[in-house]
Amino acid sequence: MNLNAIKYCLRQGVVSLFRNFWLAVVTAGMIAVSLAILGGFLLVALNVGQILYNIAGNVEISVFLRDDADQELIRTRLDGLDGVREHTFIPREQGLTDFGYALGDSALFAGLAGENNPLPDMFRVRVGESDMVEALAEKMRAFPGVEFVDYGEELVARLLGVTRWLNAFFLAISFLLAASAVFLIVTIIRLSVMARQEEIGVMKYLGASNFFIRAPFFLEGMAMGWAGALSAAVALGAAYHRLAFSLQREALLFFLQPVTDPEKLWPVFAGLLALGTVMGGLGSLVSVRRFVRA
Amino acid sequence: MIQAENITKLYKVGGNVIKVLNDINLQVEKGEFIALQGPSGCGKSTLLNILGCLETATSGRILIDGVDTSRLNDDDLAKIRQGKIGYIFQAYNLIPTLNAYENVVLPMLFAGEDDGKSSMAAKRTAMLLKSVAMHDRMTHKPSELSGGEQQRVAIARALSNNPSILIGDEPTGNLDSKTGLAVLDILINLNKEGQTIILATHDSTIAHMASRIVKMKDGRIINNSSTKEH
Repeated sequence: MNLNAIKYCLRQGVVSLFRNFWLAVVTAGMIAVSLAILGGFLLVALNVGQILYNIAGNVEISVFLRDDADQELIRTRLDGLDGVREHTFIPREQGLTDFGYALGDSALFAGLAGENNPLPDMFRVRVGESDMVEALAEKMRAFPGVEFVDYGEELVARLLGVTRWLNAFFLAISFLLAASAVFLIVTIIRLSVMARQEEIGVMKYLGASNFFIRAPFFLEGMAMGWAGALSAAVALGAAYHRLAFSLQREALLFFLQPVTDPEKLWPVFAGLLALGTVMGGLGSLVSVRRFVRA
Repeated sequence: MIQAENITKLYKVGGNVIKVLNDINLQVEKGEFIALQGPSGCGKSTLLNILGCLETATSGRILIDGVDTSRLNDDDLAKIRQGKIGYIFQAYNLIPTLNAYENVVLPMLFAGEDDGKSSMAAKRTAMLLKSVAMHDRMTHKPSELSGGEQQRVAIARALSNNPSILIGDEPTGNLDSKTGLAVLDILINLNKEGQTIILATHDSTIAHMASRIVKMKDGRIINNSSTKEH
C-alpha cells in the first residue's frame, strides 16, 4: 500500500460522497438522530447511575457488638475489608442519645442511661458500592464479638434490582439504535455500490484487488458515520449543557444534580464519535462484501 | 501462450441451463492477431472474458504462459489481469471521474508500480498517451473527449502494464468508419511491434486485417484459419 494508492482511495471516497451528496447528508442526518437518542440514553443512564450511587453511598451497615467484644480488633478487621469506605464507632451512650434524637425527644430515654442502657456498642459502616453490602455484612457477621449486623436489606435489594433493570433497558435500547444506524449505512452504501457497478466492473478488468474496490466505500461509510456522530455529539452537548445549567440553578431540585464532571462526560461524547465512525465503516464493509465480489 | 482446453460455459437462467460455450479449444501464439467473428450471442464475449480471467469456465481450463488459471484464487487472478492482460471495450469504459492521464496510470497503481515516489509510471503514462496521439489531452475527462479519443485513451490504458495479450471486444463498434480505421491502425501497429491481440468483431473488413480468423456459431468454433487461406 503506497501513498498514491491511499490518495486514490481517499479521492474516490470523496468523489463518491459528493456524487450522492444529498443522500449522504440524509444518511448522516439519520445516523445523527439515532446516535443523539443513543447518547441521550447514555447521559440519562450516567445521571441515574450517579443518583443511585449517591443513595447507595448512604446505605449503612450497623454492626452491633457483644459486651465482651474487642473494639480494636473489630476496627482492625473493618480496616482490612475491601469495599469499606468509612466506619465510625458509636458507644452505647451515644447510640441512646442518637435514638432519642431520631424519635424527636432526646429526654425520652433519660431513665435508660448508664447501667440501664439496653443498647450495645456498635460500628456504623459505609460501603463504596451498593452491590457489595450483602457480602460485606456477611463477613462482618463472622467477626468475633459481633452480636448481629443490620442493614437496609430491602432497600439495597430494590436498588440493585432497579439498577440492573435500567442497565438492561439502556443496553437493549442502545443496541437497537446502533443496529438501525448500521442498517441505514448498509442501505446507503448498497445504493452507492449499485450506482458504481459499471465502474467496479472496469476496475476488476484492470486488475484491481478487492482492497482497491472496497476501500473507497469503506472510507465513504466511515465519513458518513463520523459526520453523523459529530453532529449528534455537538447537538447533544449543547442541549445537555443547557439542561444541566438550569437544573443547577434550581434549588428545589437539589437531589437531581446532573453529572457535570468532564472526566465522566467526555467518554460518552468520544464514545459516540468512535461508535459512529466504526458503525459507518462496519456498515459499508457488510454492504461491499455482499455486493462486490471479485 | 494462451491455451483454451475443452472450455464449456453454462449459465442458469431461471430454471433453464444455457450452454454458451461448447467444448472450445483454441491456442494463441505470441505475436498473433486473432479475430473472433460470429453473430451476436454466439459466445465471443464470454470466450474473451474467460480467456481474460474475468469469468471461469464451467469445465475445461485456460493456460496462460503455462499457468493453469483455473487453479488460481481471486487475488492471483487479479494479478494475472494486472500484468498479462489488457482490455479494450466497445464502450471505452474509462472511469468518468478521472482524466485521461489518471485513467491510464490506474492499472499501474493497482499493480503497485505507481508509488508516488519514482517518476517511471508518469513517464510511461506520458509515453503511452503520446503513442496514441493523446498527450495533449492528458488532463481531459472522458466526457470532454470524442468517442475515438476515448478509445485511444482506453488503448493506452490497456497497454499500461505492458501486457502479454491485448483483448478487445468490438473496440471499433461505437466509432464511425474513419475513426474506427484509425483505432484499428494503432492496433495493427502494436501487433507489428510484437503485441498479441485477440479481437471480437462483427466486421469482416477488420477481421481480415488479423492474422487468423476464428469463426464461432452457437458456442462452438466452426472455423479456425489463417487470413491467408481466405
